[in-house]
Amino acid sequence: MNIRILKITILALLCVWFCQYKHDAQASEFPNPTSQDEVGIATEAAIKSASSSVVQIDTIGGLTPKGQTRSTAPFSGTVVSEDGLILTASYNLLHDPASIFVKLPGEGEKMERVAAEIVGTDSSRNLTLLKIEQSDMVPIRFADPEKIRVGQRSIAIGKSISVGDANVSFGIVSAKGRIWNRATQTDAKISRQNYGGPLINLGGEAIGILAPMQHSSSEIAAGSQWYDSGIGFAASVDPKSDSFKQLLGGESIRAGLIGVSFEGQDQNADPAKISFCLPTSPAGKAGLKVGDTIVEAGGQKIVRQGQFKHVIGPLYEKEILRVKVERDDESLDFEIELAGEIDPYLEPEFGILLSLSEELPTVDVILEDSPASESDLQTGDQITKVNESEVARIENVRQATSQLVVGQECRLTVKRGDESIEVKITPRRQLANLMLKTPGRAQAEQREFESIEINVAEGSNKCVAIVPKKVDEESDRPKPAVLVWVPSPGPWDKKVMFEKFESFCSSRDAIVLVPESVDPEKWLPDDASVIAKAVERLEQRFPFDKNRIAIAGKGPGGEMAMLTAFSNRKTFKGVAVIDGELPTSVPNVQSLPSTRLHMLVLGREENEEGIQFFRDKGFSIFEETGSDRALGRLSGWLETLDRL
Amino acid sequence: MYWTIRFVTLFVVAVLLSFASASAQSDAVKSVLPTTVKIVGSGGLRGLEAYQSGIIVSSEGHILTAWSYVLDSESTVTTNDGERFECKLLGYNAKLEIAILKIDAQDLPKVDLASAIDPSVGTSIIALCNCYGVATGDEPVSVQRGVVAAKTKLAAKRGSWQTPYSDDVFILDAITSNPGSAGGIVCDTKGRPVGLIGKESRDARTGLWLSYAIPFSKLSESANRIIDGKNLQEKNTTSRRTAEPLEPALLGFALVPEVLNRTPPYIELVTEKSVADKAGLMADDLIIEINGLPTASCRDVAKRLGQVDRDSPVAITIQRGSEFLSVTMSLLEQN
Repeated sequence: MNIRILKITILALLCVWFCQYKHDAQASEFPNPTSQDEVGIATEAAIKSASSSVVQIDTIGGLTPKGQTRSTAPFSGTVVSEDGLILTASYNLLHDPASIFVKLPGEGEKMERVAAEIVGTDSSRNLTLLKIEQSDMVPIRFADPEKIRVGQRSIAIGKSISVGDANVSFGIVSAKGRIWNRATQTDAKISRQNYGGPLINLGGEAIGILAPMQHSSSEIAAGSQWYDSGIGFAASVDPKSDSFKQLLGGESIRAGLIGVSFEGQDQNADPAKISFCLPTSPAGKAGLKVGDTIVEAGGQKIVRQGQFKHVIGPLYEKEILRVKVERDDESLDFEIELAGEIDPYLEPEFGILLSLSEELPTVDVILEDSPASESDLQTGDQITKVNESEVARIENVRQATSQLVVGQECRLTVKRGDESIEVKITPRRQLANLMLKTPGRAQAEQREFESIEINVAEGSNKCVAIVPKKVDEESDRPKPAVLVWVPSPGPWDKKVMFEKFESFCSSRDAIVLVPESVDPEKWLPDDASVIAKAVERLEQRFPFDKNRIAIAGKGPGGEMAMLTAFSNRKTFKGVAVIDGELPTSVPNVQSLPSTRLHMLVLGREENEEGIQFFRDKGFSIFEETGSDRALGRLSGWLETLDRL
Repeated sequence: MYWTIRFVTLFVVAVLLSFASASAQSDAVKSVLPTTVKIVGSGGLRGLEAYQSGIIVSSEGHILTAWSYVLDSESTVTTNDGERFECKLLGYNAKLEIAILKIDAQDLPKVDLASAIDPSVGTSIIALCNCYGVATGDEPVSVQRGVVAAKTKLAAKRGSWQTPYSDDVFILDAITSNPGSAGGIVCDTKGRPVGLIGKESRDARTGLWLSYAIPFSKLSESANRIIDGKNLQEKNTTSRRTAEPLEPALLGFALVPEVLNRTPPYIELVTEKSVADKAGLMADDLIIEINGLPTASCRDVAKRLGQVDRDSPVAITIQRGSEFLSVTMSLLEQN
């Protein structure tokens, strides 16, 4: 036997094994367990230590949101201070209970209840802070975020099942910096059984607080449908941060915003070039302007919009974000103080309809009782400049005027004959009496309409469009407006529908698209994407005026129209609800310059609360008590959807 | 030479150490797998899977499984080695939702229910069951790993029905709430039996799917009785409304009117000198528990009281401001 070869072989094997061992040791965290038994011991110790900082919370009463089954079961919370401050997932309190109390294990079988009250919320991480009158509680220790590694063991701890003993789920850290750098992802089973509890490492330290989360929505319940699926999140908490201290002091904290919109649609491709920035926004106050491209934020290089979202994602209001922007080959530095809320965008209106047949921005109609009618502006004027910006095309005018602030005077330069004239004009929010005075836009010659079917591969919905019989490609006739009419759910007669809308179409030269619900009983949320697809198909066959497309419906159809419009903001410029119920609160909805959406509410006086909600969010809403002249109102409103 | 031996020893020890636990786990799987069986029903209801799992509990061919519709018609049992048997339903316990089947075989490997252990929360376990019926013939059933996530009383629902079993269960950190998994075995990583995988059901209060196992310690007595030919059909005798149930008015209090379907059960008024009054209940108290069961709404209070007989004392826990009080009262005291 060749001992030398044996020696070398063994040494080599040992090296390989030792390297693997070392690798394992690096991959795991404190206290570096080396064998399965040691992992077991460390696990037990970690669970024991962290469990003393986890409590069961129960509630009495509360609402059951319509159409939802929300649980009333006890849930978990994580103690963050000795004097009884407890963090939990806001999801657990969505039912707005009458009473909240913490259950603490007492002596023997007994259990002690202590009343809790909400002291604040962290709406960036979807967490709520509770307080109970109790001393000597054991606050959780938080792990150093720098030391969290993908692949390390993680244990989800809850007390939703028992007051005394924790329920556990084992997994690993699946990813860091998820949900725009607000959470750590784990493959442990995360559900109502542990929302509000901590995700811990083998040292018993909290990596974060478990909560349902989703990258595309900041709604409190978003992500709860992913329970126990291998994708769970622990919201990151930085106990040393000022924001966290504010929360502990009873002040609710919110995600930090800069209040700009970026150009382009693809956040993973397009640069962070600002397309909208009001002087009153945090970015505007700091000195940023439309056209600036953010190239650095918080010390990180920014090439795409998504990168900027990752930098700002974990930040809270009042924090300072340092950015570097490029403006006309210059590089400028700014410090932006982030805000928790951006004032809703109010669309500035002049009361002008631009000509649909001219390529240059030409004033076609001046609406009565409007800033335009009170100014020196005249029909036929061609707009060349908005303040300092040159505007050669209609889209430039739209872009430039959308940046104006309601109530602040601006200068329009117009070409009238051979003269260049400067007109001073102060835009207003929504024009008051548009509904009563239907503007007189010159009507093109009437033409005949017919109904055709529009098929959408994705859905089995039947869609009928009432379109012009003959389309003359050469004609300079303006592109027609489109009304998507959402009928009541269930089947309808194609002929009856055609008769209903024929004169509407021919007198207004507008296309009407009518979808049918898949379920004869009700409109389903999935139908919204089918309707949007049908609009796309329609456009391929009949190019229409994209600035004048609205969706409307009566009763349940109106509610479906709202859902479709708000989930397809880029498609629709208007939504009308007739005798339908307006939601009184919708999360994350606000008026935006890039996706203007006008609203029309006819009938149903009970909608006052809903109207107020949308008005507060900056939307332009016309309302009327009765709905008897619905079609007439609809057509006037549709006609002026493209107004400036 | 000494140097070499030292190294060889070190090497061997090291390798053994690193594989010891993994091999214990696979040894456990190897020892338990032969006791598992696949049960296939001949019919089954439309849209429901007609298969489940089972374990051999006696060398003479007694099989413990979940009591379900799979056993309604003639079913077959396939052992781990692929042999197929016609089986006979020997008996069942509807409350525990278990059944004992008998196949005609001898000298089978078996699970000794008496050797079952009671693992603590966090203990690593393995679950062996025929989830989704993927294993056929001599294919071994699927093995999953997990830990004991919690120990608790089962409060679960199947459809809108409360499950008949409401005693201790191990909640598992492994997804076993799958078609076909019921009747499978959970054991620790040393192969010691822990419990029987329960039928698919949802948590009664959260609506989440539950993965749980019923401890063998809760089943073995009933299983043995059926094997011994006693108590072949134990009917389900779960709590029902008593003949003469309690009502708030009898105790002398009234709740606030029920305006929402989850109106918090605040006491609106307490009749003077009534049982409730003597016990110290007051208007504006919030009832949070009756006889240890939570009362989240007015409806819950009516339901819980409806389960208490008029002759029995009732314990009511209330919240008054930030105080919590428990009082016990009885109609009999009044007379």
